[in-house]
Amino acid sequence: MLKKIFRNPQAVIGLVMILFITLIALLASVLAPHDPMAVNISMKFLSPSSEYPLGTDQLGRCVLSRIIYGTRYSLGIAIPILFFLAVIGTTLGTLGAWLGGWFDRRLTIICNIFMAFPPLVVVLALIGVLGQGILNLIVAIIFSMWVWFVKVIRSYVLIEKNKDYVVASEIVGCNSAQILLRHILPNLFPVMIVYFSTGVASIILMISGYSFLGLGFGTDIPEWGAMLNAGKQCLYSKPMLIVYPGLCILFTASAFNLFGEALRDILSPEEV
Amino acid sequence: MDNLLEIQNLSISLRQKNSPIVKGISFSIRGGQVLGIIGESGSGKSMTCRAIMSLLDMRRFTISGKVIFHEKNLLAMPDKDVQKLLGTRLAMIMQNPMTAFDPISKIGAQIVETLRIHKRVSKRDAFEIGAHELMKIGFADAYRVMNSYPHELSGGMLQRIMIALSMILSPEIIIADEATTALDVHTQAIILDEFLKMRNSGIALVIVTHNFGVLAKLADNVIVIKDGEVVEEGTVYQIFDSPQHSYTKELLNATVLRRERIHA
Repeated sequence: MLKKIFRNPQAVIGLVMILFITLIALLASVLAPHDPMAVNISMKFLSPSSEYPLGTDQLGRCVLSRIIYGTRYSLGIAIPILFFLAVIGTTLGTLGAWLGGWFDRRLTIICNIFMAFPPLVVVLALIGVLGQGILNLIVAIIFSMWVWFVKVIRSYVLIEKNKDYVVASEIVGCNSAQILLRHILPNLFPVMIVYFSTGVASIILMISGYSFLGLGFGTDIPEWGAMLNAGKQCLYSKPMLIVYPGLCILFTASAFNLFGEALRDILSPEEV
Repeated sequence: MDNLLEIQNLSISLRQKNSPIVKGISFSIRGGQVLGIIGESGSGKSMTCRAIMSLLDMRRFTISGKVIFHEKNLLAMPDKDVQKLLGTRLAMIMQNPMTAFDPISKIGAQIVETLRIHKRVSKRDAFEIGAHELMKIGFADAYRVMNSYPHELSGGMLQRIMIALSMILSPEIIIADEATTALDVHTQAIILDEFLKMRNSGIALVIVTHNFGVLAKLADNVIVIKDGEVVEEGTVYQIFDSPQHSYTKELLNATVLRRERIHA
């Protein structure tokens, strides 16, 4: 498995990019030359210099520092969201597929109701009710996305549970918990990893998209989408204020997509 | 001697269509006997086996009748009690060995797991018991096999491992559902030898097949199933020498290998 990853250039590139981003996020306080929140109106719209490598924005804040800290926000929000989505999706999806019957029917109905609303509408409504704030954004995104994860995992388990080896483990006397935890879920692990790692990319895009719309973040918080949003006011005079965070979003999303899709290529031939 | 396993008037039908798959089958088997069930594909043989092992989803199938094992009706038993019986006293060998093992864990781990479900043994002891059982069934390199993944082994090897696995908790009865169908002729012969050994060691066998050759070699009694009903039953000699029902005659005539009882 590990050998195959290192032999696949796409996976290596994706992995290196992910590690790079993670390092930046972890070392943000060391790497950033300035306080990302420090406002200094007299220094606004400075061109790049040795003091401010990427210049300053409309409030005189160091763009490089803000971008470096933005990594923290993007990853720091996307990964908890993904974690909760994965937990909810795996538990409910597995239980639904395994138990079947009325539980599964009700779960499917709820999923279908949720899927009838586009996530953007759900998030807009929830942020409207709950108010701005990072925590509220996380809750809103989880609330709008969980059914997709449940549905996908449920359909994986449905396929897996009819395979012969599951029947075989019933024959030797395994109970449901043993079959689910020791056989079905470990076998689904590779496909789930692929789904989740591509999920990170779409969640990062989603967070940036929502903060670009002004949902979830105040303007002081150095999140890439929020920076895009702030930068669009001076799009013509200072286009670079939009280009930098845009490139970061592109870089991060492609890192996770590259890695996720390479994983799919690595893992799928064995599935057949 | 009493009947070890007795099937009384077993009927199975799909709940949604209400079309019967198995229509009131009855048969019984005594300890140490070999019962052959023969019939064409779709005649309800496998469904009968699955019903005996309580593998059918009660929400999808309606099952009536009784499966009496040691004077207890398995169909009326709570799942937990059935799980205790499965593997330890009732075992089953599946049709396709290539898909019957968990593809991502090693053979050894699967044997150890099976043992530890039913017995309080340490992992190391369970591993030794497993390796020993594999040696008994003729694997000279049992430890290598224990450390292999299912895809690294051939179908014949896997089927022998499945046999070893079904014997490991010394059950009283083993149901073999088309256990040789997915294998080539040479491997079939090896598997049949293993069945003979089982028979000689006093384990009752239910052998489901559509191959008369297999029955000729192994079975004491035979029942012939067509469209979910028993059309004929008797000792293997009766069925082979003087079949009564026209369907049995048809089946016999359709078989290339006829009357070749090697071990009487």
